[in-house]
Amino acid sequence: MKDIKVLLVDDEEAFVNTLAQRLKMRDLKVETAYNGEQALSYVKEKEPDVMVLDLKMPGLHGMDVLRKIRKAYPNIQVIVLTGHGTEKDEIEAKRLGGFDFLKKPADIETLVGKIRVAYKEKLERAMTAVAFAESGEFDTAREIMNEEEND
Amino acid sequence: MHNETEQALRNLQLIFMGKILAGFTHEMKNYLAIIKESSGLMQDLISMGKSSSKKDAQPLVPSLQLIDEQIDRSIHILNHLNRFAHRMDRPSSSFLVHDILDELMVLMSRFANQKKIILEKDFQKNIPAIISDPARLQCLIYCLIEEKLNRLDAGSKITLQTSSSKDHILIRLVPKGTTLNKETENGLPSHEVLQEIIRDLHGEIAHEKNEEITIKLPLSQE
Repeated sequence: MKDIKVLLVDDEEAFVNTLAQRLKMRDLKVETAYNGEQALSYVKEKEPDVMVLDLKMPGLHGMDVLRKIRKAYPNIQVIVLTGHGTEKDEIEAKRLGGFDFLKKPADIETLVGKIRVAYKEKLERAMTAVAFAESGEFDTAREIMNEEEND
Repeated sequence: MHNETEQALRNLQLIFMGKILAGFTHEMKNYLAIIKESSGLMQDLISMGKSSSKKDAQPLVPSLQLIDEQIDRSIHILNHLNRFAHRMDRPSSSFLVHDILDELMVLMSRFANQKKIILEKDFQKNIPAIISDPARLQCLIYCLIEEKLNRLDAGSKITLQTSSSKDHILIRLVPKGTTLNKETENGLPSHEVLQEIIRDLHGEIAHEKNEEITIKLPLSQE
């Protein structure tokens, strides 16, 4: 599974840059953003497959970024990676449609594994939607591709 | 100062300390995450590097792995400390007694190790969550363990046991070893204060002959 586009979002620049380098060494295409606003402008230009998102950042909180992403770009899979991982945060992130929730510092192979699984699930969803579209069930196809938060 | 005002100020101080501690643990985890990624990157560069430089750098690998191990240890204790700090956020909540006991055992393991006393658990599976004041309960158990740590001889053991019935949870503190019959002056609260805490939690405490202590707590305070 080459060419998975990943966007890392965290205000700790040293952390993001080092992690980006390690992910690139594992054949992932990685871009970085240092706050929520930057992440949202980035996805307007280039849509990543997977976003790895911190929660506590100055400015826009990660939970708000997640909410906006799920609404405007439901095909981006979001993995929360945070040092501030309370159970409440985990429940909320999953309720908003976050793909997974990891606590910092995560083992690199675990993170890479989660990214690949998230990407695989995105591909499978797209293929299911195509199959429905081909059989004329356009509404179902649209629903699959536009899954929003489960309130 | 009136008693109520003093109590309110005490609560405020606890919330303040909890917030500062939670913020501190969060920051520390961020710093440790950077160190761990940097150490990981060095290991990646060594293992994925060219064969000649790989051989030269190989002796560094054990030291880098040691850094990782120590970071994992630090994160483990910081996670417990973070949850401990957050327990002061709300005076009453639903929680698992095992969580707060596990947390205490981690946070008190250093005190026990220094006195060469073993802290161990014997928990009944599937104990239901209770609605109570977790920080206060934790404080009570801390006082009871600390008192035993001060009076037990080196080589002794303290076991925390749990069990449950239809509407109660039992926590038993079972010491094994030689108990020194000495009064300790270590700032621990008096018997009356401990009774007051247990009354606040709507529970009961029983001190048995063989130095065992049993705490009975309702599943809910309503």
